[in-house]
Amino acid sequence: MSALMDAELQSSELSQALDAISGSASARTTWDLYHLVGESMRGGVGHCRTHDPAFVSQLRERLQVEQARMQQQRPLTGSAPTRAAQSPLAANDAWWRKVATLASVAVLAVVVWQAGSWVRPDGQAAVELAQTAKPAATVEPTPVAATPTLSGQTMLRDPRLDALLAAHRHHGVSALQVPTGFLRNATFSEADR
Amino acid sequence: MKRWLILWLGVCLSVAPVWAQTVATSPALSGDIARWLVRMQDASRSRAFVGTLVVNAGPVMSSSRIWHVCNGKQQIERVEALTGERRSTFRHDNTVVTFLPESRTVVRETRDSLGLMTQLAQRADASLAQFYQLRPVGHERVAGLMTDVVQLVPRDAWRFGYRIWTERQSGLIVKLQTLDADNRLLEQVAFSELEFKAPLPFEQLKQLMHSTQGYQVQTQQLRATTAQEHGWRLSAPELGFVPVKCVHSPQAAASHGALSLQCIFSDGLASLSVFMQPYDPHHLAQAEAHEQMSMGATHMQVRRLGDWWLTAVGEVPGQTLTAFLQGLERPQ
Repeated sequence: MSALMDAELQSSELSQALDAISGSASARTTWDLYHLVGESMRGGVGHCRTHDPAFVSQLRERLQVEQARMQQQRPLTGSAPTRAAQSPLAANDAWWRKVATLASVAVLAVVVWQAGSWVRPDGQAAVELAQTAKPAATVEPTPVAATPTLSGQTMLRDPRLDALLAAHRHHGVSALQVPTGFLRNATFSEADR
Repeated sequence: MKRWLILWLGVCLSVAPVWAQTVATSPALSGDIARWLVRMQDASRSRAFVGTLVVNAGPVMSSSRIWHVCNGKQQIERVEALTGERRSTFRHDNTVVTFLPESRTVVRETRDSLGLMTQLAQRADASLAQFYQLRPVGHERVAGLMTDVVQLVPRDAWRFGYRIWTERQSGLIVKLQTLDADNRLLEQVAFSELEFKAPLPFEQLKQLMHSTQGYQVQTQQLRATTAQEHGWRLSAPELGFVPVKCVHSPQAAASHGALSLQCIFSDGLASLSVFMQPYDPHHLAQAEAHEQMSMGATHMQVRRLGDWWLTAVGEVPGQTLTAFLQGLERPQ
């Protein structure tokens, strides 16, 4: 018993000693007594408690019940555990590759959509972007909007400029003014832009 | 031999009236700008019509319904805008009344420039032929009507060209295109539908024009002036655009808080205006960033000269406007 406590027994002798302790209540009492003496010698009597055989017995019974319940919940199929359960997912795993592909397509779609709005033919989005990026204005804001033209230049929407355009149309002189020029000017309004 | 000579004279005498009639009804084919313009002017004084007009200027398309009535001496017309802000414009010779139903406002004005047309057309051959060449193109059907097609080709780069479709019987312009130096289309005015008929009696249309009950009537007041009177010296470049007049609008000065002077120049077909205003950084800073602007055939350029802001507008290439802006001086 003393050699067992000092971990000096070899496999065959260890096996015989364990069988003797498990099969004999006096041997287990002796085992507890030896441990109590050892604890008393290392730390004092105040720190020592005697072994409670009833508690250990109840603990064993409870552990047996729990083991039986876990065995019932285990899958009945004898198939091997899945690969996912056996090993963590690798970055080059097929599932991750699918996820990465889908994410790339989504990012590409967002980029194309944004680019499409930047190059819209009416230039509206470009103006919106410019307005968004505009820092705090230092001058009084003017109601001006850009309008693309055939020549690619930009016509401003400014009431004052519109007034100048209208004044020019009113007083412009041309042999084609009557009736075509007048009809054209009465049809086309600067506000239509 | 004598018998052949008599036969030849007979053929000539019988063909001559037919040939003369052909030239008279289609002066476009003769290349005579003056007669072609006079005939075009006469068409609006002698033919009533109703139709739909479509204007394409740059990316913008506008349209209107037109009623035109004349009694041989006077003409009156109503233009009902089908696009943009609701408005009806009436013209009785050179008097123009514009109804704006949404603001319940009527703007009444006299446009002297509309009265200058006949004079321009009559002296057109002397001046216009210097700058444009009338080139017959052929015949086409437009808005269901057979037309003569001519092209007014500019002789230099200071002006645009025109392609014009006139109805064969009356000479009325049915379609007009403004083309740049490379023959690219800048602007088009065309009837999509046109009928020669009197939609309303002359007097009835005139009555409608003056029915302003429930509207606030505004009268445009313009004062004829000169550039020199306002301290400007304008050495107009020798491009064929002669000064027509300068006007000053006290109303515009009151509403905008700035004195605006407008001087108009024309070569007979194309015209341009130069505006002189005090420089206002709050309202013109945006325009300063865009020194050149265009809409269809209409171009605009701005230039700052000290404390003044100069704006040139016209149905001419940008380089013509640049030349005019550079010719303006304000001696101290």
